[in-house]
Amino acid sequence: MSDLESATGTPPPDEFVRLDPDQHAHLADLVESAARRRSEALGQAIDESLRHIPALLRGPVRRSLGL
Amino acid sequence: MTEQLERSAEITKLARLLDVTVKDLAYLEHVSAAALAEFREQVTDRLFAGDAGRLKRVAMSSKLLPIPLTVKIAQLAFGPMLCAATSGLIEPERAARISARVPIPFLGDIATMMDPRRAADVIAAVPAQVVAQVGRHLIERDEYVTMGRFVSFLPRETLRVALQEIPDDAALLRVAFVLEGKDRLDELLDVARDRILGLIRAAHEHDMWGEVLDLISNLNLANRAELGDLAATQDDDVLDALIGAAQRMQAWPDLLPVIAAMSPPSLHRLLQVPAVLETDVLDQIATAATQHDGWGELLPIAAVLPPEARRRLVALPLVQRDDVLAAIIDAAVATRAWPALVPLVAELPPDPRRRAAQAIGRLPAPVLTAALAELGSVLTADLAPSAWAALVEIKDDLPDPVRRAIVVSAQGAGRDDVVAVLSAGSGRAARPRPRPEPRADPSGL
Repeated sequence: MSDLESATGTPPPDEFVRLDPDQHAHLADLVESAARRRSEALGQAIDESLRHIPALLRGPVRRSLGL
Repeated sequence: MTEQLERSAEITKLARLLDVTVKDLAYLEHVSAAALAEFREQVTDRLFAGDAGRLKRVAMSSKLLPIPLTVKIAQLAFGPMLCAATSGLIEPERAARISARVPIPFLGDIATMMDPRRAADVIAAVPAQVVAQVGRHLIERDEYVTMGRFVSFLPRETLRVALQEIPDDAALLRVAFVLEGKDRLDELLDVARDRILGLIRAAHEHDMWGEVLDLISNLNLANRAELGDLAATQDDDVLDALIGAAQRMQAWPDLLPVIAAMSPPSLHRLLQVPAVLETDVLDQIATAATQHDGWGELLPIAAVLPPEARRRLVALPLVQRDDVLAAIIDAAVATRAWPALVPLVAELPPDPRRRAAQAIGRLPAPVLTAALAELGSVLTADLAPSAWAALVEIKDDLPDPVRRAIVVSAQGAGRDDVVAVLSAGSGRAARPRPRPEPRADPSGL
């Protein structure tokens, strides 16, 4: 399995065989970085959002979020 | 050319998704637009799948909160990227109520990061006026790519309202060009029918003929014809520019059906533009017809070309090839365009004309019989003398059944002069006596 296939979880389009290994690796790195950034941002957003929720609702929301 | 522009649009979308610049992905410029689109969807799926569980829980939790608080948290904590990620997981009716309270610029930011495929129900539920305001905002930010991704998911009425908020025809053309799901272009044109002329003028003013040619290639025949007819109402400089663009972009395979579908007055007008009659242009058109099985469309056009241009057309080496002559004759049979074939064959130089006549003679008997019946319906007293003269010109090259059929028709039409020449059996130089033209006929027949 190529770097790119590992990153997306699916074989890239056939035409991507024309790209050289460095370009495959670059794309794979970009995909993994974007996924990591999104995941980190989601975690921060959830923490931040709880600060805006009134105390009365915070418990049910935390339970709903599985926290 | 169209492929190049589509590829550029795809790289822009992918760069946005990966949060890098277009320059960072310059090495993808040799990958096709279709492959780039497929890869972008793979990346989108990966990004959404990574946090699917948490995103679903966020969407569920939001139901516990009053809408004003949800709107506040969306802006202060989640930001546009995460709102975009959760947008497709919220109930459409609730999402629509939320959207009505979110500032338009923030909705615009969300739109640039959303995957419309995952939020189709939500997009369809958002009030038309909100969509229209977001659309106007996106256009002001030159976010044509985002607009192009959303249009396919808008209900027709929402689309109509949204288009009223985009008065700039050049902007509309840009959106149409990057539209995802171009099978909706006909519907887009239906909703914006009064904008077609504006689109043509915008293409001329902003040198956006590539976008217009792409639009044309994706329309149904009726809309192509309407666009062609409206284009034909423009001044020579506009038509010159269109023809020049078609020539540069080798777009004749797409344009030939448009010209063929034009009304007779529009076609007559187009053929008055000198640029379309130049040898290089005729060569590309004939090449397009040959490579794309388009002689059925080109034959009727060739029949009404000015004689000098038709002579230039048949003088092209391509047109004189046996396989191309066969394709022309096959097209005449298939489209019942024998009347259009006559002037073309008549203009051929002697050698290819003889080969064309021989090819006609080799047609299966039932085909030839049917063709002769078709030909007989136009060989009447109304036929232009120039067409009778053309038949006389090629009489020695025609198979006997065809010549006999022409004699019968000429008798019925009262063209004794033609009967006399054709019955004489030889005398290629002999021509029928000049007679007054019975009526003006732009087809030349």
